[in-house]
Order: sequence, then C-alpha cells, then structure tokens
Amino acid sequence: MAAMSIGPIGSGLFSLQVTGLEECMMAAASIGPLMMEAVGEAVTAETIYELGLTQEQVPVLTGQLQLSGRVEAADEGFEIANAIAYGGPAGSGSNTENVDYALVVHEDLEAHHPHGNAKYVENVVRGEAESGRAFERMSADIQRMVQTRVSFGRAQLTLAGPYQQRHGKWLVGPGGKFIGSTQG
Amino acid sequence: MTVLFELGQYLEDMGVATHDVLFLGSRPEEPDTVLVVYEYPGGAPQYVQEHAAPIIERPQIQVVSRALKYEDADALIHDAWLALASIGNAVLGGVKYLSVRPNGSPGILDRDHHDRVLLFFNASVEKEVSFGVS
Repeated sequence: MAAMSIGPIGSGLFSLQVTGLEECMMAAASIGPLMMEAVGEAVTAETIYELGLTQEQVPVLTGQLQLSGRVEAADEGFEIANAIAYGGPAGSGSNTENVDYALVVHEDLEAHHPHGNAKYVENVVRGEAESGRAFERMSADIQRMVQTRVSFGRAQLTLAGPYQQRHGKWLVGPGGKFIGSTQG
Repeated sequence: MTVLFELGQYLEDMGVATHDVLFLGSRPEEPDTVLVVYEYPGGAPQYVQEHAAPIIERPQIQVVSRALKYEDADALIHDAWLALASIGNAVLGGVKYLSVRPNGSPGILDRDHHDRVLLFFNASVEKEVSFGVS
C-alpha cells in the first residue's frame, strides 16, 4: 500500500492519503500476461466451437472419420493457434480404427456423400472467419475474461490526521497514478 | 464467363495444358493424364459505395492433375501452379484479376483405382465479378 500526504492548503491542516497505488500498478502490469491467457482461452473455445460445426459437415459412412475429429495445439512459434484435426491412427481422436483417408475425403470435390461434404473443415473455418462471427465471439470472450480477472484495486483517497509533509504537493493523475512532486 | 472458363482459357494460352487434357469442373475416367480445375465456395464479396452489386469476388479453386506416372502428374501440376500463381493485375477473358494465390505447394491427393497418381493444390482468387456465361 502506498501512502502519501499533502501539506496545508490555505489555512487548514490536514493530510491526504492516497492508498492502493501499488495494487493499481501491479494490476496494470498484470494485464499483459492476463491478456495472453485470455486470448489463448478464447482461441481454444472458438476452436472447440468450430470443431462442433465441422462435425455437422463431415461425411459419415462408418463414423470413424467423424470420431477422429479433435482440437490440437498448433505449434506456430509465438502465435497462439489451435488446429482442428481429422484422421490418424486409432486413438488419435475417439476413432477406434485407422483413418488414413481424411485428406482425400476433405479434398475430393467429385465424391458424392449421402451425408456431409468435402471441405468439411475449410468451409467452416473460412466461413466463420470471413463472416466475422469468429472474431466477434473471441472478442467478447476476451473482454469478459479480462474484466473478470483484473481488479484495479481502485486508489482510495482518504483525509486523515495532521499533515505530514509541510509545503509539499504530490501530483496524482487519473486512476491514482503518481506523477511527481514539488517542494515549495 | 466464370472463373473456371477464364482460368481454363488462360492455362491453355500459357501452354500448360491442351484442350484434350484440360477439364473444368469434372474429372473424366479417360484419358489417364488430365488437369482439372474446380471451383468451390470462397470468401465474401466486396462491395463499394453506390453499387448495389458486389464488385470483387473471391472464389476458391482447386487444381488436380492425374497421370499414370508420378513425374507426369508432378510436371503438370507444377506448371499449372506457377502459371496461376503468376497472375496479378491481369485481364483474363475481359475480366480483371487482382491475384491468384495458392494456399500451398502442390501435394499428393491420392492414387485412384487404376493406380494413377493425383496431385492437387488449392488457391484463393480475387477478381472482378464475372456476369453470366457467354
């Protein structure tokens, strides 16, 4: 907790204490990591949501391709990215058999499917991105998470006791931020 | 004309594929060696002020080559890839093309029941809206 006093103004003797500045500054400093955490969670939530949309479009014959659908972390260096993945050996998703035909089913535009269609991932991801729906959902998620987790600990101004700094004045900016001091 | 006809004509003009090898929108069983261009849903069109109709459309295309020998399919798809990827601020069939951008390099799609190899790539097209088929 920070406390500072202000000297006499006019003829009155009083002190002005500003508290909570350290908490405020710590909260501000914590926004960066919190923001990255919120973005990561929003991207994951969006990927899970879009996986659900792909499940409605993926062709179903034996059901193994549909069962192989899953969300994977994508290694994109410093970028926060997830991937919707289909196919792979048994157990890659919930599939119990090897699914080595996911790419062909996805890309073969000539194949007829009684249920589902080619481009079952691309159509969803492109559609949600191009329409702006994905951005709107993630923006709302990030805003909600940051608002929930960041408390600025509101700097409190209290008048108390006799003045402690004679002829001194501290400048306190918006949000309780300490700007500087003068001695007069 | 539409994107398929415009790009098909371009590929013929560039000498990538002749008329008997190039197919648009469907892949016949014969001949063995084919180059096929497909169109599938792409991005949202772009509107500009005072125009009710969209000005720019952004279709997606897929190009597939098929041949008995891998090398033949590979040469065909790479020629098509390079020719299409080189389109920028060009007029094809009287329609302005801003760009054709492959989403990646060509890769193998499958081997069919005649053991013919199929290679493919997808590309994003940005072009002036084509009206009707002439």
